[in-house]
Amino acid sequence: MGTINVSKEYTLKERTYLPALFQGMFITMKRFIQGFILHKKYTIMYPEEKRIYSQRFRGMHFISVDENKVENCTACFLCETVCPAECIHIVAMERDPATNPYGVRKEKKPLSFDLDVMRCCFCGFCEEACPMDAIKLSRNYELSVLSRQEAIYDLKYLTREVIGRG
Amino acid sequence: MEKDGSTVIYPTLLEEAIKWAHKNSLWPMPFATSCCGIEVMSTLSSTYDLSRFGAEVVRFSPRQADLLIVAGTITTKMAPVLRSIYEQILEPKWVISMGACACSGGGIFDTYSVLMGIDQVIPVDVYVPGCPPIPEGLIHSILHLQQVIEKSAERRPAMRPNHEDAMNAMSYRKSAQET
Amino acid sequence: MGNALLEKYSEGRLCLADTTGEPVLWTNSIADAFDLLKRLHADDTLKFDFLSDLTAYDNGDRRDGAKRFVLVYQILSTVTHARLRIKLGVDEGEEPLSLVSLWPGANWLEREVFDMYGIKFNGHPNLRRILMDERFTGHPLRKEYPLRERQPFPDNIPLHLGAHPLPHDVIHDDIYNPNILINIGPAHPAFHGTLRVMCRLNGETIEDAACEIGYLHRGMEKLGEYKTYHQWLVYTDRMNYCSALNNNIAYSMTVEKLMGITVTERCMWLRMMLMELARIIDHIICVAINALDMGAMTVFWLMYYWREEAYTMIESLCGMRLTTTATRIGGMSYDIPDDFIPRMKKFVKDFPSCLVEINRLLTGNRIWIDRTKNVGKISKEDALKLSITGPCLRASGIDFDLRRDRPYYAYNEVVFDVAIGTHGDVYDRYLVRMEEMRQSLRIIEQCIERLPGGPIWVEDPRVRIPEKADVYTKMEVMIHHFKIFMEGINVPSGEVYNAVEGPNGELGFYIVSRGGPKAWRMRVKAPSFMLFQSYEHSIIGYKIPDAIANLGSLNIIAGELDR
Repeated sequence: MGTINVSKEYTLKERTYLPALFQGMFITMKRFIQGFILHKKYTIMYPEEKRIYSQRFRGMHFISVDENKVENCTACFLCETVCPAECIHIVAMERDPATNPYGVRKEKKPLSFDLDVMRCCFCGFCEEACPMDAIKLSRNYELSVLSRQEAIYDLKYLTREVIGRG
Repeated sequence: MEKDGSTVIYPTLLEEAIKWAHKNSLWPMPFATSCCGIEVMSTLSSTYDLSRFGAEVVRFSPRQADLLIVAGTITTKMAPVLRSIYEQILEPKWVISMGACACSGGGIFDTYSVLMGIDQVIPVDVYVPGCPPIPEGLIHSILHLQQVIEKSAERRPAMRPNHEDAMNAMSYRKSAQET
Repeated sequence: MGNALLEKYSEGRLCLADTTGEPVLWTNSIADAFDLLKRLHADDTLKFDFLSDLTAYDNGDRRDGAKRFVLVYQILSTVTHARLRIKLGVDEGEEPLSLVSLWPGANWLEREVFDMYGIKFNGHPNLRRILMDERFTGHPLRKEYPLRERQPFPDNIPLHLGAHPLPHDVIHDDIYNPNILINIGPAHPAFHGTLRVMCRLNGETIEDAACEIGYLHRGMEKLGEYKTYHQWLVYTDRMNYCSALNNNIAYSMTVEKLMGITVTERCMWLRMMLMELARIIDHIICVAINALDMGAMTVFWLMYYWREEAYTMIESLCGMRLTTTATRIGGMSYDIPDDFIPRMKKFVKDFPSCLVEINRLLTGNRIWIDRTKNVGKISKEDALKLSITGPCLRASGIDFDLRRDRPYYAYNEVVFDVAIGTHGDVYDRYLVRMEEMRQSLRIIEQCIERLPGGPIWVEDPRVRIPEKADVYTKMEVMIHHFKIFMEGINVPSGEVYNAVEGPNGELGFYIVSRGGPKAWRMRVKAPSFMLFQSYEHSIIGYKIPDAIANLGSLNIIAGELDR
């Protein structure tokens, strides 16, 4: 493991600037030909061409539902506790034990589940902490809104249908 | 007159033309303070080219720009600077508040020195949540803003603090409970 | 450091060891502390020539001595590679002696301690607030200051030159006064983020400069006392946001040291690979923005493509491009996906072509050389006295790299070279960064070869976040899962200072723990802080365009500077 001294001195080669100039022009010309004539493009033409992100991408939240369209969330407050941005607010209530087909597996449910997406830092801790695989992060990144009120999403929006990871 | 006999009339009111010109040539001024600034730079680079939407010229001078993209946390020390930059931009002007910190002070930065949302000091047109919003999210919000300009949606008065309100927001002592 | 030498200095003083066994010397009084530091600075065998950090913590519960605050000095020797921590108890109203006479780099560090805790330093030339506004009342990091007590201000701080006189006070023999006071920033295109410099120009040459920071102070250190260790990981991304992976790994490493956890082999090699990738992308930003500031836009466009390639890889690993939060205490959030290694191999194979191209565009180019050679020179002695670290220190000629000299993880098993310069000007910093990118590629290649299989999480029940499949089925695993997230990780009491060689310099975390899920004091030693302090000194005598070129080469990241 050695040490390299990278200092360069100002030699005659640099003083005569024309060779370096032509070298630079050559690189620019090469890129121009690549782009203009050989049509090699690097730009992703959003919104016509959307890039597919990985399965781990952290975008807009959603709460998964089971086959009866009942949310998987049992209001255990783990996501609210672990969220560093304090953007989740849950009010819990018990399901009626007489009409609850799930028994003890889903004893509680959220009466309201408010997620303030303006405050969210998209860290993914809520998804990691959820023991019921309820709250997850989809691949939706198109979140722009016109007012702060519009960005507080309630349970109805969060339990929307998301195919795969969205 | 088309070949099959139908006609198409283009409404060419001057206002429509002006709105079209406005929305397709927004010159942004990136007011980038922190991490969202890096995503603004990525948006301006060649992979997600912002100049495809008319924002060819990125002007760092407020006198020459018409779209202020506030990206990043604004602290109480920086708020007067932001207000003075906003007042220097000439009408018509729009503001995009990019990132969780600019929109609402950032849930994670709820501390003694951070302004809870730039709409306390300047009026905001489009909010982009995200931390940081990826470049496609920012481009989506610019397209959203273009739709807003097209419809000339009236900006809600509660969201447009005038100079006096902004000065008040910046100079009275707020206690912890009052946010 | 030999025990015999330590004994010589620890007579009459309490010598303890912190959680990792590093020595901590407690001094008895203010004069004693200054005297000890002076002797250590002058000692010829120990050669403590570098002040790493100067900070304080609140000792309100009096567990560490009888005084209200404890001042902590971290010193380092670039020759013998030894570290020493010196502590001093200080009460309210007591004024410790300032270290500015020994190390000019202590100037801003002491200002920060004054700003955050209210400890005044005797003999400091310019003791004023640095991170908060001048008109702010109270001292935020004291335990009694509430977290959310905001004090807004109606206007920006007026121009000042620190402790130096303003232009109308400077009298010259000429009939007219050629001195002008110019304010650059905080919203300036060439200034990366919220930096502000006020210069006094004589004609066109800068004769005096004062920097104003704190426009992005977000209170991360105070938040460290309110959030659990797991939650605070989120803030590490937002410090040096150009290389977020590096910060995550450095922080996780510190907490793991505090708990006495050794990560698995696979996790270690993977973290090394990610740290070097973070170094590459940070250097890409630095060189690209530096060139952009001087008008070379082509370099920006060409280099940013590679940043996007790296972002794609990072996004496939952890889900986000920039604010990654990819590590956890004891492991990683996700193991690498299958296509990560092939993509990384392709990156390593293709990226050198970019470096070759940039080399052809810039290194021999007379315009670049004329603008960057002999600009912003920092000599060897100044670099040590101002406590700068990283590529800028190496460009000034000091051969010090934490990866080689105080190796952590498996850096002593990989072969790489350390690049140094001679003159310490902008041109040398650029060359050092280009060479460091090449060496990082070498390290990544070796890490890819040596990446073992095996688990990515250490099987320590204190920190292990269980696999989701087990949480859904087994009861005791679910209880463990609940306890980890609800109560947080229980870290034993102790303290540790852990520093890694970040892309910008020495990134250090100093955590004082009194047990429990939250830290007592979370201190971040940010390399950009000392670099920006040196900026005040290195632009004197140059013109404004030179100052802009100089700033671009220092790679000041405002998120890290102000925290």
